Amino acid sequence: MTITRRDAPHGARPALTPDDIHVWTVGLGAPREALPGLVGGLDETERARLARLTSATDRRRFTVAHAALRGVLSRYVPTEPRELRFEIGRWGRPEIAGDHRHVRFSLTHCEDLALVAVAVGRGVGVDAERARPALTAVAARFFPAGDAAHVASVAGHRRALAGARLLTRKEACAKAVGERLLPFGLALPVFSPGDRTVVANPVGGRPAHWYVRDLPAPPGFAAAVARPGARPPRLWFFRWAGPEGSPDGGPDRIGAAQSGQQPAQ
Amino acid sequence: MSPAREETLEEFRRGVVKALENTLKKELPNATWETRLFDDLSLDSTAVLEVLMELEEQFGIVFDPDDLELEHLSTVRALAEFVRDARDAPVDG
Repeated sequence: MTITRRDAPHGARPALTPDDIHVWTVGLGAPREALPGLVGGLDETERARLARLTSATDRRRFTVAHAALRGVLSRYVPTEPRELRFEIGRWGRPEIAGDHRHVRFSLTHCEDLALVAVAVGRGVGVDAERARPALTAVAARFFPAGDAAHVASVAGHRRALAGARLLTRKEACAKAVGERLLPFGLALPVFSPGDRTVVANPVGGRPAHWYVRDLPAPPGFAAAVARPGARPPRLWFFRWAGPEGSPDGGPDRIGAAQSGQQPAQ
Repeated sequence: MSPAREETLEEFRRGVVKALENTLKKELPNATWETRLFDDLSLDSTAVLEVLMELEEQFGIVFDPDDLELEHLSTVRALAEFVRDARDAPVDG
């Protein structure tokens, strides 16, 4: 299906077909005075989760990430951000409740970076990680032999980034099918030269494959997006600047990447 | 739970909190038995791997990732019990 701009209640709505994945980059910095208004747009479940967080930084990041998630999703469904309702779907991941569950999404945040991936008709997973030195040991301990050998073969400070890159691929694949990194995603062999690959399910079953693609990320971070199936999606990149953040209220498209092309940096 | 077993579990609680502090790189003076790893501390799945590795080193054990269920990571108590049970489990071979 194609979602048209014409139905958009909030400025422009980007067209999204089953061949597409839209990836929104969200900066989680926000002035303190903006937070109460953003909290007001969250639902009871989100506010309960927010109340449990013990760190002010974690609370700010959670608030901005979830407010942005609502804002992004309202571009794809005819619902006000604060009216969006979520439920846990049969794959164990949050879904949009009601008539719009065909719009699938995945949210990740790492420090002050958040990414929201949106697709229709099939699952999508996105993940971002900071390249921490500890990830080299994590790779040696937990990754399948081929993935661990790749990370170990990378010299110097780039080794941690290699570990982070494979870890984001695993987590993105797991999230795309409602699974978790541990133990499911860790067991997936995801290494390939280049920035994209088809990952085969090592234990059979469904899905047989994922298409996974590294994403542009700030220095020191790695990010990846994945969906079930071997067919490459078209990737479109947007930057979230708040509901009023761009002149027409629409997304600021910073680039698009189709199969065989490099994503916009 | 018997007092002796609870006392033993305290050793693992201290180990879990230490592993969390080292992974998150901050003191957790208010951590309790019921502190939730994901909801209260914003631990993510990658950080969980670092915590598990530190616990393996602290207690001289090797986890089988397939044995780990989500509920083992729900609270400090749940993870302490999982570590204790892993250490007490008979070693094959």
